[in-house]
Amino acid sequence: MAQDSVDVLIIGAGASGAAVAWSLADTRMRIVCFEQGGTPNPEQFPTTGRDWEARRLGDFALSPNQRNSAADYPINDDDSPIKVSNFNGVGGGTVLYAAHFPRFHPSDFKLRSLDGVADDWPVDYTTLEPFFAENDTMMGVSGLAGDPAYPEGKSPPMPPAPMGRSGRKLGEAFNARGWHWWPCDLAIATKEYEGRAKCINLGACISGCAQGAKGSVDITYWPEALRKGVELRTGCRVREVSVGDDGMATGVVYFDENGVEQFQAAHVVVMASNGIGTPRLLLNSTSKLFPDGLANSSGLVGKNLMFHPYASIQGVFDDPLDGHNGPHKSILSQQFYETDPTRGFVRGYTFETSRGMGPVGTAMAGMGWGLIPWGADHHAAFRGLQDRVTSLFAICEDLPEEHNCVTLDPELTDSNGIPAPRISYTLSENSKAMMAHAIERGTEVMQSAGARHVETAAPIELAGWHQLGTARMGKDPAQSVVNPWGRSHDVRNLFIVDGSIFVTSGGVNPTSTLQALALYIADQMKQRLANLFD
Amino acid sequence: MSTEEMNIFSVEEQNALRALVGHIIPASKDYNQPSASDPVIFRDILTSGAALRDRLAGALASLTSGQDMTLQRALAFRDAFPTEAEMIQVLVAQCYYRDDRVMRALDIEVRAPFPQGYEQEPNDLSLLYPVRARGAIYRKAD
Repeated sequence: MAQDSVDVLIIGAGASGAAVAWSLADTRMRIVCFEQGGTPNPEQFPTTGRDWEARRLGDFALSPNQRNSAADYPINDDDSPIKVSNFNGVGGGTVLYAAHFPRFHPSDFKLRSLDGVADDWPVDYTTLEPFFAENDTMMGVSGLAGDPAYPEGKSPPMPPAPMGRSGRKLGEAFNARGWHWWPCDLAIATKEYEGRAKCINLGACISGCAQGAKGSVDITYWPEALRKGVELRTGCRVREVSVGDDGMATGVVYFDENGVEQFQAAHVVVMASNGIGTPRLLLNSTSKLFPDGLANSSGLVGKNLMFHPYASIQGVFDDPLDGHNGPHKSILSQQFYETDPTRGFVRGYTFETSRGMGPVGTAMAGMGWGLIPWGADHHAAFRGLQDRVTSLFAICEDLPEEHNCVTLDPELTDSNGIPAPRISYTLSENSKAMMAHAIERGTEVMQSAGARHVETAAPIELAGWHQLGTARMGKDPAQSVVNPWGRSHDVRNLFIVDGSIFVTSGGVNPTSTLQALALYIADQMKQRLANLFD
Repeated sequence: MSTEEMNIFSVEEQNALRALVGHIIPASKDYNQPSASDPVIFRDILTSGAALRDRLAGALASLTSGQDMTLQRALAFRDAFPTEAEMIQVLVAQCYYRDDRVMRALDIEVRAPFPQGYEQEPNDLSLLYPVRARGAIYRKAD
């Protein structure tokens, strides 16, 4: 059944889709957003119950393959050492993210010019700076101005979250080594902010914030966008973007919440399904004009998949630290962010602290490490770890490589019969060298801090939170999927605004940059409304 | 827990699993803590682990002989069936470390994190003096 045509149809109600919807609403066009999941209910988030840790392995698991809810689609990531984490619903990944909100650095947009690797972006830090600031205000970011790892001018609207005993201990250790560190920028309200309550240190940011202090877009952008007239339809799973004989997108074929196939006509289609969902949908959108998938004349749809390989360095201390009390992230270090040829790899990484664990997490980790035995000694050993573990994670810049890709699985489908994505990904030698360096330096920090035991691992398996690069932006249609303001080179009324358009990955969590980029594209669209399709 | 969920595991499997988890975490008089085979905790284990039954059945079958369970036998099981042993270990951790008696013994408040939350000490930003003193470290890209 065909629906009335809309001006703009956005696919995906996560970080980028929400930002674009809010910004484009200024135009008073008819804007509709389709989201395959539902709207999260904070009253049902895990921290409202005693079983909050166990639910992280069940209905609030990070992996869609483990969660397996009606809103999820399966992802074949067997051929990847890093497994995908996401959330399908209004808010997207921001519902389950840790809300760590660092920006890209100026150098992150200039890898070819500065380091002779990958490519430069067609936009730069200065261009995005006003959109970073606008986004910080909308998302409600806490932090501390004056970080020497960034140009002047970054000024989070709220004071930093408590760094706690663990952040203090590691900060002192970074000081002892003469290395950079700084309180994290977090999209977490440290005071009452725009109707949001302040953080009360529930300590489970990555399973949804029952307090509503964490800036997930279901409670930041979406209420504002809806007030401005945007329509949000949940339970709508898009199967393909349709095109007419003129090569322009005509709308989408989708399954509604009852599983009935429908068609929604649209004058403009905006993809906001992130670095796996977007190429999956484009590759599923084949036609006579686009036999290899929509917007894929370059052959780059699905190629150049970048995760962030993570290294983990966990220290066990004699003194009690925070346990799970407080936001996951407290401080970061970007001492090793920029390229240093003496290290044996290009580019670099951010150290971010991760506070501690609850009792279930402590027991699982301790038994996994062999520090908590089976048998009568279990109890004393548990007490030796209880509230005494804190972590450094190194988030390593991943460089684009075409063989790392998203394709369509020949057999696996979702509950509507739509072909599912398959991931093929290998770690580069550069990433392996970077993680090894991070483990050495991180171990030194833990030892300086007084850790009596250090556990390391790389890569962290279930750390495919950041899915980037699979429909990258650029000036050359032969080398990119979208142009410098997010419009498909091939289909002039198709835009992509999510992580798939990233040219490179940076060495930081991408949400801040992803949303700033989405706001920038929306701004470009608004400025070009009269000749948007020229 | 419903009887139906409990009965997903056969009586033999329940007996084997109860004996095993009792050696993973035995009771402690010193710390005033129950065993993981305590009736309340074990019911939780059976319910929470119902979905794992088919994946555990083969390994549990190796424990259903007439031999008494000992720590040595439990450790041999872990060596012989590492995947299943890890699943059981996670299951035991999830159920044991949310039991009220265990929480009290560990001096952990018996409540959900929300809505009360927790307190954190205020920041001491003077720790950042040496970082500020070293000046800018970002790389200019112009």
